[in-house]
Formats: sequence, structure tokens, C-alpha cells
Amino acid sequence: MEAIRRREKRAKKEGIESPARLTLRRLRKSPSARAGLGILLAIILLTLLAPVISPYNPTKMSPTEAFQAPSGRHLMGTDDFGRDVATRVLFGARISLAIGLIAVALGGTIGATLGLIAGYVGGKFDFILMRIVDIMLAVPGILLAMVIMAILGPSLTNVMIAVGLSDIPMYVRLVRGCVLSAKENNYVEAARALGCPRRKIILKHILPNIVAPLIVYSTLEVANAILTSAALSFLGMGAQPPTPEWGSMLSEGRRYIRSAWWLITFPGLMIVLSVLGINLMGDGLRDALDPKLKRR
Amino acid sequence: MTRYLLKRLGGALFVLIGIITLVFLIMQMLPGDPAAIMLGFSCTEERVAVLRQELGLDDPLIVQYGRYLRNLTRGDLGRSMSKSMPVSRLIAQQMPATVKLAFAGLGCAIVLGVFLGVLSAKYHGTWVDTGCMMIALTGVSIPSFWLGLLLIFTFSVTLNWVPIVGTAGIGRLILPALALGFRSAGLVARLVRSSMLEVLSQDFIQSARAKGLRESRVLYRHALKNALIPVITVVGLQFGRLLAGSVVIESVFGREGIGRLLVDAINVHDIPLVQGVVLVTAMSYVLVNLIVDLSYTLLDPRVRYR
Repeated sequence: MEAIRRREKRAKKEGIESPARLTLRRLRKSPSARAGLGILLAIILLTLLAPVISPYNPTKMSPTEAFQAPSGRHLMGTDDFGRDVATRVLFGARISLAIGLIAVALGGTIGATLGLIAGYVGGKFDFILMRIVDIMLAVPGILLAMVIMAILGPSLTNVMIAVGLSDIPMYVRLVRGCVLSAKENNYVEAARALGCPRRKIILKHILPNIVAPLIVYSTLEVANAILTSAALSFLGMGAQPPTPEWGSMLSEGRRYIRSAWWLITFPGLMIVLSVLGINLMGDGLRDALDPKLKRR
Repeated sequence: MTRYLLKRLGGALFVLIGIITLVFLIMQMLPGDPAAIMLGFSCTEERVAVLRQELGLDDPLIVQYGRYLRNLTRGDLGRSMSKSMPVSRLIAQQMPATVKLAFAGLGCAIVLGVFLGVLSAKYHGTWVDTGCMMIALTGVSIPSFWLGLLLIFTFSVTLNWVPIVGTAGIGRLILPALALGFRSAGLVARLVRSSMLEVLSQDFIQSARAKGLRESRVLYRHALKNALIPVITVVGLQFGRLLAGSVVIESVFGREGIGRLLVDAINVHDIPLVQGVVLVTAMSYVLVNLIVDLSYTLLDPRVRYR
């Protein structure tokens, strides 16, 4: 412990930064990461404060107030059941962000675990798994998610499962590739020579060294998951009314496209903003974690 | 070259067989008894049992799989439960509209993507570059179905330039193609920009400039030609994505096509139709990728020797 502290002190004195500190510094300097983080924080803050900011209930109907255009009372207007669109959009953010995060966590955990094992163990397991991955990757993501939804039935939980499961093949391929390169490093060979158990080598020596591409991919994948789940809900296969999910709100709103433009404008705008924020953040992260970039 | 071709063809064949098996297995997991669905709610148990036997649904899985493969080799994808027609005929009727839409979407993606990418690389580091990349990033972030709704609202509802729904006519193809291709345009623009920047820093561009060639000639004849090689792979992959993406766009614009056919089939639990559409779409995806891979060897001879 003392040795580590001494080394850190010396590194600080000589101006050498730890990778984590270097990444954070690059992130702080990256305009795209800053913009992305700003958008995301604003959305998260609004989402958390939704019950405080909005005096309306997102699912309570009041037919006398149906189809009101945006005004001081209803900033984004009201829908066909008289519900406040702004409130539903804010509550919808909770659902969409949760779907994105949970789907990626599910797909990422299963995919990364399989990729780690396949990459490190190799052999028949790796061969068979990669052929299955090849086959699954040949079916476009949205199609795979739709087929899974057809099996599971329409619901919010099933959207998360479908999107997460359709993410698995890409995670397996990404992580396996990273493991194949990481396991050739001297420190892994040294750990193996010292008799370190296989599980410990994978979790303690390989996993921390492949985390960077995994974080970048996962960040960008949250954006994709939000888009796919919104598309599924738009097609009537995801969240069901009266759940305030952005995709299903757009699906309901399109029926009144001639008379109530606000019903299709604001939920879509929120999808774009959140996906844009995540993409900007992902781009910034990729630049910050890219070892090929020179120290700025 | 022959070895490379055989290897790629073998790989594609394996994936195709894998997809057939995967689709067959997934369809076995779908909830509901296909025979009961075919007969409707008012059917008796006896009639369901008879139909199950007629369709061979009581046979062991491996026997059903063998029969499925045998039928596939004859082009028989089964019979749609909801439309009472052979699935292959339904797909053949709807496929041209989807392929037309996917090609139009790809055209939009290439024209818009290359234009933005070249402009961005030409004015690298200026506000033009930032503006083009912001458009590209928005393209990547915008849901195609929302863009479709906005286009309908602007050009059909407000300006009344094109009818809201339908398939016929070039006017009715432009808006769905733009909605479908905009996301791919964003990806292509980002790729063209980075590829162009790399090519523009190479020696042969310097010597072309030193020879006194016009900048537009350097840019389009020398740089773009070389920068497009890596872009072709992505464009090919995008075609497959556009085929799949048409599922949503066809629903937004009320167009005919296999995407809409699939959504309808899922909603009414028409298993043979879902199976057929997924199979044909995935097969098209694999074949497009194979063609892209093979065309890549013609464009970049180094690939053959790797």
C-alpha cells in the first residue's frame, strides 16, 4: 500500500497521470462530451423533478380539456383524453431511459460474460458460440426484437428483454475480440504462470483492461435501445396505453396529425434530444478513451 | 481468389442454414396453437386435433424440421393463416415495393451522406464542418418513424404537395425514402469525412495539387474515389438495415411491403407468414453482405491476398 502511495506521489510530481485521471481530463476538455452530458443531466433533472414541476397526473383523463394547443397552462398542449402532454413527456423520459439502461445492462451482462469466456477459453465453445453469433447477427436487430416480442407478447418489460436479447450477439463479438488481444499481454501470461485460477485471471486481469471499449459501446447502445424500444412501442408491440412512453405517444398522436401537431412534435423531440445527448457523450468518451490519441 | 470466393460462399451458406434453423426453432416457441388460431375461436377440440394431424404438428420436432427444409427447397414457405394464401406468393407480391423503398432510401443516404462528408472534409475545422457533422449526428439520433411523421406533417398536411399515404408514384416514394435513408446518411457522412481526411493527407494528393490540378478535380477525381472504398462496405451493410427498417416506415406511410406484412402477421399470430418474412429478409441481408464482400475484392485487390 505504501509502495503504491509512493508511486502515485512520484507520478504526480513528475506530471504523469493515471489513465482514469487522463480520461476525465480529456472528457472535461471535449466539447461533444460536455454538450452530451449537459443535455442528459438536464433531461434526468427534469425527469426526477417531474412530480414537483408538473401539477398534472400523466394518466388522469379530463375530456373537457382535450386537444388544447400549447399555452401557458399546458406548455405542450393536451392529448385526445385531455392529459397534459408535457407531464406525459417528462414521465415518459423515466420509462425510455429505464428501458435503454436495463436493456443494455441485460444484453451487456450476458453478452460480455459469454464473450469473456469464449475469448479466454477458446476451443469448441468459442467456435460454436461464434457461429451462433454469426447467425444472430445476420438477422437485423429490429427484426430479431420484433420476433422476440411476438413470442413474449406486448409489454414494457418484454421490450427491455427483447431489445436486451437482440443486443447480445454484438456484445459477444466485441468482448471476445478484446479478450483475444488482451490475453496475449505479458501480465496475463505472468498471472497464468503464477498459477492464478482461470476465473480470477478473467475477472481481475482481463476484464479491467477491456472495460474502455465496453463503456463506449454500451453508451452508444443505450441510444440505440431507446430508438428500438420507441419503434416497437410505435408499432404497438411495446408499452401499452395509457403508459406515457414516447413511442406509444407518437403512435397515438399520429391519428390526429392534421389537427394536433403538438402530439407528434414533443415526444419525438425528446427522443432526439436524449439520443443526441447520449451519442455526443459516447463520441466524447470514445475520444477520451482512445489510446491512439496523443496526450493533450 | 477462387479460394477466397469458396470460403465466403461456404460461410454464407452456413449462415443461411443457421438462419433457417433459428427461424424454425423460434417459431416453435410462439405462444398459441397454430391449428386453433387457423380455425378461429369457435372451433371444437376435435377439429383442432384433426387439423393438427393434417398439418403434421403432432410429429416430432426433427420430422417437422425435415419437412420444413424439404418444402423450402421447393420454394414452399407454407400457407398464411390470416390471408389464406401461399406465403411465398404474398412475399413475392410485396417484396418489390420494399426493395424499391430500400433502394430509394439507399440513394438518399449516399447522395446526402457523400455530399455532407465531402463538404465537411473540404472545410475541415470550420463552421461548415461543424454544421455538417451536427446534421449527420442528428441524422443518427433521429427515429425514422418520427422523421416520417414530420415529413408527412410538413409536405402532406401543411403544404399539401404529396398525398399522405399510398405506394404508387415517385412523389409518394421520396418522403419515405428520405425518412428511411436519413439515419444511414448520417453514418455515411461521418465515414466519408474521416476517410476523406485520411486520403487528403496522403502524398498523391499533394502531388496532384503540385501538378496544378483544380481543387474540385483533386477532391472528386483523386480523393473521393479512394475515400469511397471503405464506405462501400458500410453502404452495403446499410442496405440490409434499410430493408429491415422499412418495417416501421411502411407502417408510418401506409405503404405496401413486407414490413407491413410482418407487422400485420405478428398482430394476428400468423406464424407461417412471420416465419416466411423473417426468413426472406434475413436471407436478403446475408446475400447483400455477400455481394458487398465480393465486390470489395474487385475494388481493392489487396483483400484477395489477405
